[in-house]
Amino acid sequence: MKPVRRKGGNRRLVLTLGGAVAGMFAFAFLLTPMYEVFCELTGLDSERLTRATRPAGSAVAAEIDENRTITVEFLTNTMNPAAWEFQPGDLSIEVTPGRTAETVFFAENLLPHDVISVTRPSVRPLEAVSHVSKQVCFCFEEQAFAAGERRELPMRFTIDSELPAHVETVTLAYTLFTAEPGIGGS
Amino acid sequence: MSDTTHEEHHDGPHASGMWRWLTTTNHKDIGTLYLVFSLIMFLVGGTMALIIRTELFQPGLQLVDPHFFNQMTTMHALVMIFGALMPAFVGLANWQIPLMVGAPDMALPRMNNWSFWILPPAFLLLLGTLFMPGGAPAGGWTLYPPLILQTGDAFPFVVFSLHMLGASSILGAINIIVTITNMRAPGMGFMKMPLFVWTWLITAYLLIGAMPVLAGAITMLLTDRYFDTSFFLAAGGGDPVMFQHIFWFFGHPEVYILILPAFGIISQVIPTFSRKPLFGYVSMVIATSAIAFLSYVVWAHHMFTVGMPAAGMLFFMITTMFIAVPTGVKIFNWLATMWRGSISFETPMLFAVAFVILFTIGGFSGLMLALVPADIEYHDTYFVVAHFHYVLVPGAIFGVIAGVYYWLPKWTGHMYNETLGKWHFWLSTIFVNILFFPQHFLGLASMPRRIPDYSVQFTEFNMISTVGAFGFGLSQLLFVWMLVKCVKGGEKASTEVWDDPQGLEWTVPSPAPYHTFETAPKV
Repeated sequence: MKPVRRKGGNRRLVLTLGGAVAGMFAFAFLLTPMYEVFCELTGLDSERLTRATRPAGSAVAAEIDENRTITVEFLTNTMNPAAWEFQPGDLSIEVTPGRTAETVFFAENLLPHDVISVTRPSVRPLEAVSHVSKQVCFCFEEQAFAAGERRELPMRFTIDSELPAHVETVTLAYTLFTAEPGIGGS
Repeated sequence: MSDTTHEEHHDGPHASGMWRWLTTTNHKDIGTLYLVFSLIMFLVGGTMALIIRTELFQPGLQLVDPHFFNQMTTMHALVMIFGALMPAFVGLANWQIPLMVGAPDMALPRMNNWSFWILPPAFLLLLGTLFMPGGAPAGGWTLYPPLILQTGDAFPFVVFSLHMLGASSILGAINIIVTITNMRAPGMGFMKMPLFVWTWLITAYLLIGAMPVLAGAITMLLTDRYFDTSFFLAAGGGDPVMFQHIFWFFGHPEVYILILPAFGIISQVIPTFSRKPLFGYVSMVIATSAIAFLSYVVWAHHMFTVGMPAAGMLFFMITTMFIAVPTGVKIFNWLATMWRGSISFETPMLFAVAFVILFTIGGFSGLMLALVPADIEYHDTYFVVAHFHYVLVPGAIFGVIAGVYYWLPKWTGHMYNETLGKWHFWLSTIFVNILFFPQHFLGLASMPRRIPDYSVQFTEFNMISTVGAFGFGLSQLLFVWMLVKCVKGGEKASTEVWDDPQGLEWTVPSPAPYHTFETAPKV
């Protein structure tokens, strides 16, 4: 008996499998937008909500809960400590839910030329994310620094009274990056 | 192509010397090339492991500086995964699949040659990075940004070599699928295929699904570094965690790519030496497919500590634990095959039995790691190292070794030296446990992985582990010696080799002639 060699079948199968390979390569690139859509639809990724903290002036739960104080801690990071000095003005403050609080951060460009920074915020614990709203934040847009310039960066925010009762401490963390011009704020 | 093979009927290779190996399209030649290449890479990767273990023999820094230590952990993983294990399985597939399905050769012989010969230059690039300014990649084989983007001049070389290795695997996978789909002997339906062929068919589909995703991820790394994109750079609005999602979408199927063919080998070896047909053939096929399917929906269990909503953690924890079900089916089927069998313990069977026991230990520690609350404690400790080495060394590598001993007489025409084989087995099995078992305790006591130094209370277990590493490493030289002796000579092997083994490969003479099944056998 002759061996069964399905020549035409080979070509078709190779093309199909090659197409699958190309498809999976494209799929890797599609994963990013797909995650965004998935998280938006399901509301699962609270991390992304952090970045898109409610814009200034948007409605917050106006109720003020005088019986409660929340400790808010501030953390700063920079990817390039040789280029930046970046510190919170307060390490932590006590905040009344519903009442607007203010703090400052300090950033200094240690380089001998002008640079632009972008800052990425993060909120922990995750369940606090949707209860923090920032009215003023340097993290909303790029900040331009002249060579050696040191600047005070104000931040104003509110934690609403619907924050789950067991959350007593909220941490706001900021990571500062040197940005190419035009790379955009969050 | 088919004309020339007809004229060469029953002839040997068409050329001699180096030219033969460079231009060969014969599945047996290419299988041999893959296996020899993988053995060399196994020794290279093993040497790197011994450098790591030597440094860890005592606390403090003795032998290498921390940066080089990190290069060693990274390169050890890349070399072992892409250089030793994957080529070993493809080599076994090349030799065995045509013989087992009754085909004269692989379906795409010229592509087969190409898929092997991509490997040596790829590894020249990868190993060459050790001598570049800034050294080899040191950010771990998982290549997480932003750390990996700080690699020196080696960075693009690593990315390109991984592209080439991926291309080689994809070509190999396409070839295997086409061979199995189109070239089975008449009468061999899908549900009559030997399990090694089945597991490889499923593995090949996993490769096609997973390797291009890795290629995509490393391409994004490359453009992030050189072309101002921000896929993973937070400064530009990208997300470093996104890389981990994409990487593990490849990475988890990859770990099944590294174990499914071994499952297939064990499913060939155990029935032969138990003198019983495999128990639960259909459930084996279904279980393997189920594992392959589940491998695509568990990836984020590698990322429990990077931040994920509770619903996500629950989903990935539960799907991960589901994998224990089909895996358990396979383990019990192997046990049931041996049950009341007329068992004899030749070297391949010894390795297969050790595989079943030791792989199960690795499987159980995997279940422990799947539990979110426990994983947060175990993450990035030596417990993880112990877990994946149990499934990959006495798991995947023992599978390869069992397969080599099992089929070696068919390839060379000589019986291997059984005494040497037994020594190799007992030394390997004892030392591999001395090597990896203490790492469980180190991990439970929170010794972090990928760090060249440790606090003094970990000293004793690290010393034991290092002794095991050298014992295991040196025992493999026995394996090399056994291989050389068996290729050169030895007792003549019969056509059947073993006691009434099942399968078409045992119907051709030993050594298997250069061309087999030019006339398709009847099943």
